[in-house]
Amino acid sequence: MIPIAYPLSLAAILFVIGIIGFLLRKNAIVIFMCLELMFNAANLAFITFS
Amino acid sequence: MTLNLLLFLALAVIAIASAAGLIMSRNTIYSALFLIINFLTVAVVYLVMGAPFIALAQITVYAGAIMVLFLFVIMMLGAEKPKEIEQIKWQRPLAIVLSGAILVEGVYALITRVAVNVTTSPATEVLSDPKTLGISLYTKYSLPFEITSVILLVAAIGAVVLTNKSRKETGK
Repeated sequence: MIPIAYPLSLAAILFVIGIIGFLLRKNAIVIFMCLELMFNAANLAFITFS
Repeated sequence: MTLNLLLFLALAVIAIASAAGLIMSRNTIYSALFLIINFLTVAVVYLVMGAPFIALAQITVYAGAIMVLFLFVIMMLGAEKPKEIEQIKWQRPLAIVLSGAILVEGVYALITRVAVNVTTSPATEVLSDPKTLGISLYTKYSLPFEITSVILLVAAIGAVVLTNKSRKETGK
C-alpha cells in the first residue's frame, strides 16, 4: 500500500492552502469554501489513520 | 514505484492544483468549480486507500449536495461581484505575514517529518462497513447522535433568527 506519510502530507498541504485562502480573500463565499477545503483536509487525515 | 503510489501522486497533484486555483481565481463560480474538482479528486484518493463507502459518501454529500448548495447561493445572491465592505487597513499585510508564516511552518514540518514512521494504534472497533456503522451509531453512540442533531437544529434556528432580524431592519 501507500506509505502513510503521503496522504498525510497531502492533507497538510491542502490545509495550508485553505488557511492562506481564508486569510487573503475578501469575498465571503470564497472564505466559506476555504473552510470547506480545510474540513476536507482534516477528514483526509482521519481516514488515512483508519 | 507501485501503481498505487503513482496513481496517488497524480491525484495529489490534481488536488493541490485545484486548491491553488480555488484561492487564486477572481471569479467566484470558478472557485466553486475548482472546489468540486478537489472533492472529486480526494474521493478517488479515498478509493485508492481502500475506503469505498467514504469515497461515495464524499461524492454524494460534499460534491453533490454541499457544492450544489454553494452554487445556488452564489447564483441567487449574485456574489460574483465582491461587495464593498469596510476593511481594516492593516488586515492585508497581516494576512500575508501570517499565511507566509504558516506556509513556511508547513513546508518545514513536511520536509523534516516525511520519513518518520507513523505508528497507528489499532482502532477500538471495526466501523468500516455501513451496516456496522449504522448499528453502532444508533445503539452505542445514540446519545452523541442526538446531541449532534440538537446542535444542528440550534444552528438552523440561529440562522433563521439572524436573517429575520436583518429583514425587519430593512423594513420588509
